Formats: sequence, C-alpha cells, structure tokens
Amino acid sequence: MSEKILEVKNLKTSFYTHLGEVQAVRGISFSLNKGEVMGIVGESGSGKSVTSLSIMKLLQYPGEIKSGDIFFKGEDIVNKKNKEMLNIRGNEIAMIFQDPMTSLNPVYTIGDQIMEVIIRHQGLSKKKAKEKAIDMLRLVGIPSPEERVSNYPYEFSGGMRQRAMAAIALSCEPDLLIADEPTTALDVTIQDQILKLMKDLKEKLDTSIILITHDLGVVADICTKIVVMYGGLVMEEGTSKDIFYNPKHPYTMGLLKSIPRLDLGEKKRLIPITGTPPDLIKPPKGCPFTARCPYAMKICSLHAPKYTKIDENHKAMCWLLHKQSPNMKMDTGVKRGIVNE
Amino acid sequence: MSNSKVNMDSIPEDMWEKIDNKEKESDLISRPSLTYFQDAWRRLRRNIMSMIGLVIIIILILTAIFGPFFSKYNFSDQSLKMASLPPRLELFKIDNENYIYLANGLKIYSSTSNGEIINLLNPIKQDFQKKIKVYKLNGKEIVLDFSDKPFKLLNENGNEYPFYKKVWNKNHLLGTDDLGRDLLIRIIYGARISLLIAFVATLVNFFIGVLYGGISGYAGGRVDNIMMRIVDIISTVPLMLYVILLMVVLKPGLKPIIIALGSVFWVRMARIVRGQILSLKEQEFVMAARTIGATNLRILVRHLLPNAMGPIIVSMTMMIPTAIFTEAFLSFIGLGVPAPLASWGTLCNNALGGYRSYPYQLFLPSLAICITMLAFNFLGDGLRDALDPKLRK
Amino acid sequence: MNKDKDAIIKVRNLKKYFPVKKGFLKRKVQYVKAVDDISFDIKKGETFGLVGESGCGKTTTGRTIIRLYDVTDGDVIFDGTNISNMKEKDLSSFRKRVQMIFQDPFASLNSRMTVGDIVGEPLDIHKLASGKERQERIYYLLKTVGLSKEHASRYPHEFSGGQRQRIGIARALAVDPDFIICDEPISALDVSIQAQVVNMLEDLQKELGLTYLFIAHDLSMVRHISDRIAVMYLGKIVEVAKSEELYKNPTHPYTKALLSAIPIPDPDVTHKRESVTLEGEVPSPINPPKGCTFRTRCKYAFETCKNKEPSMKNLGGDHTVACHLLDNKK
Repeated sequence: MSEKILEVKNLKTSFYTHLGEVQAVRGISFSLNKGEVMGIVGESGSGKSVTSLSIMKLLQYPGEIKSGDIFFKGEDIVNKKNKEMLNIRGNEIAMIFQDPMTSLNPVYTIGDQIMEVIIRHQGLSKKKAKEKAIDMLRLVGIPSPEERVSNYPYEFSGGMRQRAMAAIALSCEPDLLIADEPTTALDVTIQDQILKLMKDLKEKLDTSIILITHDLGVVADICTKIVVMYGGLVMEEGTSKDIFYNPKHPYTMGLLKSIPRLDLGEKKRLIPITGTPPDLIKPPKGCPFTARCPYAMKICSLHAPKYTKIDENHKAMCWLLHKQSPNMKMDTGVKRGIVNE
Repeated sequence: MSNSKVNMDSIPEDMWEKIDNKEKESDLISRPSLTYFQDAWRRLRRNIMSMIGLVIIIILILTAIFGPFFSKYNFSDQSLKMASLPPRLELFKIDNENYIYLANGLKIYSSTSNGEIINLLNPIKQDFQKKIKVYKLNGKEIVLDFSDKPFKLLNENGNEYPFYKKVWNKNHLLGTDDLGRDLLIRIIYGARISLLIAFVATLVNFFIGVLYGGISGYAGGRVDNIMMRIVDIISTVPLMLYVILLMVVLKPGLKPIIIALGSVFWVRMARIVRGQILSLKEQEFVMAARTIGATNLRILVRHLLPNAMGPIIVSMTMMIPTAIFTEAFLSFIGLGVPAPLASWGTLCNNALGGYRSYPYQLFLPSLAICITMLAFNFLGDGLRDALDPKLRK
Repeated sequence: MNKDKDAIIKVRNLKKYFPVKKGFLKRKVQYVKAVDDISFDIKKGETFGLVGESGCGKTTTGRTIIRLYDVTDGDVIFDGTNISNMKEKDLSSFRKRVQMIFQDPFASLNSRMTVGDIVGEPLDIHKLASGKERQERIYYLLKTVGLSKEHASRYPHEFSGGQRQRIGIARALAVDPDFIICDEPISALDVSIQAQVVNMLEDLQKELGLTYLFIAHDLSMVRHISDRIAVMYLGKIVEVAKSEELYKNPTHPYTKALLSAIPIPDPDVTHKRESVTLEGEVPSPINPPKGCTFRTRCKYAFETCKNKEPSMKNLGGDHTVACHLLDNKK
C-alpha cells in the first residue's frame, strides 16, 4: 500500500572550498512514502538544507553530489541531466524556500509567476493558466485572489508571500513538496497559519512533504516521520512519537531538553547542549556528536557507530545502543504534556 | 562512515570508559585566522590578469623611482647631433672596423658593428647639382648619392657599400627625440611625473571624497540632501572643460595639474562613500557603538569607514588610470608640465610634428600610457571581485 | 510609594513616531506610529519580557529607551533621572549603566575589529581601563561568557552564531551595567545554542544583579526567562502580567491567539489542543485602526471597539489588560 516516492541511499555531498572539502552530507539514507510528511530536524550546519538541494539537484558551485543514489518514483535522479531535471523540478518535485522576501521575482506579478510554472509544465493556454493561478491563490487562502493575482510581490506581506510561494509550488500538483524552513522568517501567528495551510493541502492534494526545520515544535504537529540530522549524518530516525516519547540518541534528548515547554507549568533551568557543532572540513573520526555528548565514551571518539534498529521504523546511530555498552542513567528529556481529552 | 575496523561483537572493555567533558575543547577554532584583507589577497592572487597588472605596476613604480640612476643620460641633456635616432639602426659596412648609419635628413653617423654610434660625419664636399655628398672616414672616401631613391652609398670607385644588417641602437635603447634627448630616460621620467600626478590626485580625491561622502552619509537628513545637491551641480559641469579652464588660469606646472585633477574627481568617490555609509550606518554594530557611548567621529572612523574600505579601494584603483589619462590629455594639448619636464602626454605632443619620419617617438610613450592603464584596470577588476562582500562566503 | 522606589526604569506615555517624507522637499506627510503611548515599570533585578509580532514596535521601544532613537513624546526615567530629552553628551553616565544585546550576531559585531578590540571598546570610550589592566579585563570578560583569551585576537567571522552572541554579551558587560536591553538575543540562533545563551543570561543576572528588558517574539522563551511580560500589538501594550499568570490566565484575545499559535514539541498535546488561529495580518502602523487597534483581527470585536480606545484595567495582582470585553462582562 505504501508506495515509496523518494529513497535516498548513502548520499554524500561536499563543497570544495579553498580551505578544503566541506563534507556537508556524509552518507545519509532515508525513504519517504507517498502521502507521508517527513520532518528533517537539525541545527545550522547539520546538512539538512544541503540534503534538500541535493534532491532538487540545485547545488551551486562549489557544491557537488559525491556519491549515493536518489530514487524518485523508482528512478535514480543523481545522474539526470539538467534538461531532464527541468521537467521534474516544479512539476513533480516543488520547493518552498526560507525567505519569502527574496524567493519571488520582484519585477513580475504574483500571477505571472504562478502562470509561468503552469504554462511551462502543463501547457495550458494563458487564459486557462490565469484561471488556475487564481484558483491556486484561493486554495492557499489569499483573500480576493482575482485582484491579488495582478499584484507585485512588494504589495504582499511576508506571510502572503509565503502563501504565494506555496501556490507556485503546488500549482502543478507535485508528488513531493520540499519546504526548507518555510516558517523560520515568519511570526508565530503567521507560522501557525502556514502550518495549518500545509496540513490542509496535504489532505486535499495528498502531496508528500519534506519539512526541514530546526524547531522541534513545528515538526511535532504535522510530521508522521522525523529524521534528526547532525554533522552531516542522520542521528536518529523514527515516527514522531518515537522521537518525542522514546528518543534513543543523546542529541535528540539534548534537543528536547533545551527547549522550554510553554504548556507545562514548571519553570526549570534549561539544559543546553554545550559547545558548538563540528567543523565539517575536518569531520571527527568517530561520532560527530562526541564533543558535545554528556555520555561520550572512548569508543565514540574513535569509531563511528552503526545504526541500531529499535523497531521497524525507529533507528539510531549511537554506541550506547550497542549490546556491550554500559547501562547509563540518562535524562531523556521526554516531557509529556497533559492531553485534554 | 561505518568503515571502522572494530569487531562489532566484541569490543574491548576500556573502550566503554567515559571521557571527561572538560577535556573536550569544543570552542576551539581550528581554521587559520584570516583578516578581511588577507582573505581578499588570497582571492586576488588567484586572478591571473590582476596579478599581471599588479606586477606591471610594481615594475613601473620601481623603474620610475630607480631607473634614472642606471642611465648615463639626463632627461634634459640635449645633443642636437644625435637628434631623432631610432631604436633600430640600418648599418652599412665600410670595412671590418667601420660601419655607418644613414639617418633621415641625409645625415651619416659612423658606428661600430653592434650599433654603437661614434659620431656624426661632416661632409668634406657637397655637390647639390649632382646630388652627392662626400665624407671621409678612416681615410676612405664615402660618397652619398641622393639623386634617386633609395639613396646609395658609394666608394671612390663608384661601387656600392653593402648593406650590413639591422641592429639595436646601443647608445639610446629607445632612440632619441628631436633634440637628441634619450627617449628611454624621458619615458622613465614621464612615468615619474604621470604616476606622481595620478597618485597624488587620487589621494587628494580620496581624502576629499571620503570626508565629504562620509559626513554627508553619516549626518543624513537635510545635511545629506544639501551636500548631495551640491555634488549634483558640480557633476553637471563638464569636467574636462573645467580642468582646461583651470589650467589656463593657473600657470602650467606640476602643482596646478594636481590641484585641477584633485578638485574634480572626488565627486564620484563622495557618492560611493556616501552610499556605503548610508547602508552601513543602520547596521547593528553601529547601534552597538552608539549604546556604548562612542562619539560620531569615532563611529565614522573606527566603524563605518573600515567597513566601506573595499569599494573605496576599488574606486581608487579605477581612478588612477583616469587621472593618468587626463594628465596625458592635458599635456598633449599643451597644458601640461612645462619643458624640459616630460610627462607621457608631452612626449606624445612633441612627437606629433615628425611622426611620419619618426613614428617611434609617438608610439613608445603611447604604449607606456596604454600598458599602465590596462594594468590598473586589470588590478581594479580583480580587486572588485576580491573585495566585493557579496561574493564573500 | 515603596513600589516606585524599586523601579530601575519607568516608562511613561512613551511615543515614537517616524515621519514618512514625501516629495522633492521631503515634507513630513505622515507618521509611522511605531510606539504609541506605552507605560511600564521595570523593577530592580527582574526580567521584564516584551513580546509581539514583527512590526509591533517592541524593538523600537527598546531602542528608544536606550536613546538610539529620539523620544517623540513621553518620559523615560532611569534611576530617578529623566533621560528622554537629554543631549547625547550628557548621556555618558547613562550609557555606562544601560547596555544592549542585539538580535543579529552577524551584524552586531564590527567585522574589521578583533574580538579583543570589540570587547575593549567600551573600556576605551569610558576610559575605564588601559594597557595591561585593559587586557586583563578583556580576558576576564571573555572568560565570563565562556570564551578563552586566545579568542581575543580573532575576528568575528571566525565564530559561530552562538559564540558571536556571547561576544556581544561580553561587550555589554564591559562597562559593568545595571540594566541590559536584550533585543531578540536568541531568535537568530539554533535551538541547542539558544538554551546556552539563555542560561548564561540567567547566571549573569544572579551574579551581577542585572535587570533585563527581554524583547522577543518567541513567547515560550520569554515566559521561561521573564518575571513579568508585556504583550505589544501595533505600538501599544495590550496586556501586562506575571509570566505564570499570563500563561494560565491570558485575558486579551490577542494574547490568547499568540499563546495558541506557539507550536508545542509534543505530538499528542499538539494534536489535541484546540487552537485559535489568528486570521489576517497586522495592519499598517501609518494608519492604525481607530478605537482598539486589534479589532480588525479580533473575533469578539463589537461596536465600542470601533470608537473607543480601551484603557489599561488592573485585574489585581499586577495583571493589567486593555480590552473592552472586560467592561462588557460586567
């Protein structure tokens, strides 16, 4: 029943700078089923945005996919030429970027920019395309779309621009939507609106979504599956319940501990993850999290751990999960809120 | 990543020891420290054209400063006998020791076989009806027959002296001008004058422009409005016309040229600096400086200008060739440095009269101007790329 | 009035309007009412949170209090001295006691200066230390924020966002201030780093007895760090309360909406909770709506809201709200 729409296998992406090779993504694998919403969580420099650009094949010089496979609907797109990607990008895979202020072209109207995608990929006439553009604007909740369609981006506020971006991304009914920090630049109330919109659209169009963010709160609401990235590697992968209620990797636990919980009455001191992320020009030999991990052992700094399967959907990369590892008392950071039934 | 050579089933006990957190210096920076200008230099170095330009400029400056010490001539030494000798000489062989060079204007020089001019020969007999001149060299009679082109050199028996070969002028590497002054030393002196004028004028522009633009941009509001309208008005005056008029009023010389150039080109610099300051002064680091009580002068000098330095340097580099060109132009139309001082423009101007007979006198200083301007432009282009913050990662 | 004595800073009817100039002569035709008549007190040693969406005037409030902007109207009384109309040259002692931490860790440090010079600049300006003493003080400040003395000779671009923000904190601490305005100090940082900075601010407050004005749009962090919180909307404060009270008993419809919009990192809770999605966006502060500024997005708005501006009403226990619904209930 669950058809795999995207499968990434051992993807490695590097940037070749004058200082040396920056290994932004160092061998990650995950898969996404049709209609699934997956969250990729990680801090800046974890490789989450590079992953999305690799899938879109939008890496700019000096970035390059070093090795690995990306299967989209069963086809490997790593070796596809730019010309072939043009038919996939925008049509079958669409993307929403972080900054709504710069991701729209200021000299074309919103309508023109939506129509461009529709005409390019669906070959509709100009008139039909305009009707569709208006429909799309209505779908993403822009009031009076008939008038708004001929507005320029500067006449839109930040939240409306992000809606317009969503309208462009969804206008060809893509099978996969990649949203790279779509709400980071927005206010909470607007973020709330956009997340609701994405949930609605998922239900209406059955699009698969990859949501990239550094905010665990954002993924908790709409993602069914979560991938936690650190230092160019997937640290832990599981359903959202696995990640929030049964984290197995100290980094995931650290993330959970470092955010204050508004809904819980307590006002405890936050437990931050100390230190800073590793320099990926010289990635650490062992586990990249060793330097910041409160449970780090000798082996962590010397050898990279393998994935341990916790159950069918849940796996983590940590020596603590090895059968020989000493039993350590850990603060998992899980806080369960009161659910009002 | 899982290529570690450990046996997953039995890992030695000691591997499971906890590491102390304090040992892990995670705030350590491993990358080498690079300042803004070191980083820019690294990028500039990779730009081949700019490096060529830079090397040319360095050679040029060194030659301008030290070149005259290695020359036996002075830029003002005249020698009418040696006037208008080209860099390449066509020699005729008289005998094994004696060679002669036949110059334009029916002048004959005795020379060595490798192109060292010994002397100008005086005719012992001239016959304008037969169109011959007779010279004596080392006891041998040389007859110059200029009745028909090409002119012939005959011996007393009426046999033609053979054409020997073309050699470089050993006395004057680049030849001499119409007053017999060494052209090489004059071009080197020209480089001194041209570069001096260009650098000083650019420096003057830099100070006026940075001061004016800095104040205008930092003060903002009405002050900025008025100052920029003044700049607008100044920029409506055709610069060349203004400089020419100024030069006419002032007496020709080094100082007036510098004053004329320095008082004109700052307009562009002022605009660039103002634009930079306007965009920088809203940045948070400027606000931070204000909250710690920094004075306006301190903010301008310590915070704003250092951050605006990139575009300022680029536009300075681009201003130098403009100044060189303007100076050359002024000198060319006779408003430049007075004789015997020579700038490249005056050299070109001097050569204009005889450029059909002596094209090298015009060509060589022009070439110097071209190479210098190209070198500065290449360097400027490279600097623009190297210092542009938008390309910085 | 014992309560007034405790207040380190008193803001009274503060207004900050930015003129909108048009035409060749740059005539002031309109005003952006960024801060429009707000009043609050901050007590010694407390952390006062100021939250609101972008464009609500919270950053302008901070910058006006520290006199980066001139005050349009109203008073800012710091430790008994009214500084709202002081000339810059008379503000020197104020600048020694009030400092600011900025939002953008990349823009708030001068990239042409070494970290040592950045941290040492306040010492130079106020002539607090020089020579060896200055050096020692810089090392001490860097140590306070968890950096080492080797970092003093490095340039800001070599540091990560969190480290840069700590350098900014060290600069603010250089003059040994009493009151620090934190203008969204963590919103540009990663989650794991945010907690580092927040903990550091809390520790410093305890050690040095600092008072904070903590400006942010992230209500969960603000609630965590603040003792009292003011919620701003379109240049006005709509609700002030102790942070627990504000969360447990939000009264203004805007506060309620803001609270419900915050994502909760707990899938079960977030799926079950009913949320009040706030429709529409913030109106332009050039022409704010008449009456209650929030009425255009408020689903409880009624006739009075259009005509009359609500005044602050005390609900007891330091909880004040500006909303007509309170009258209506009575």
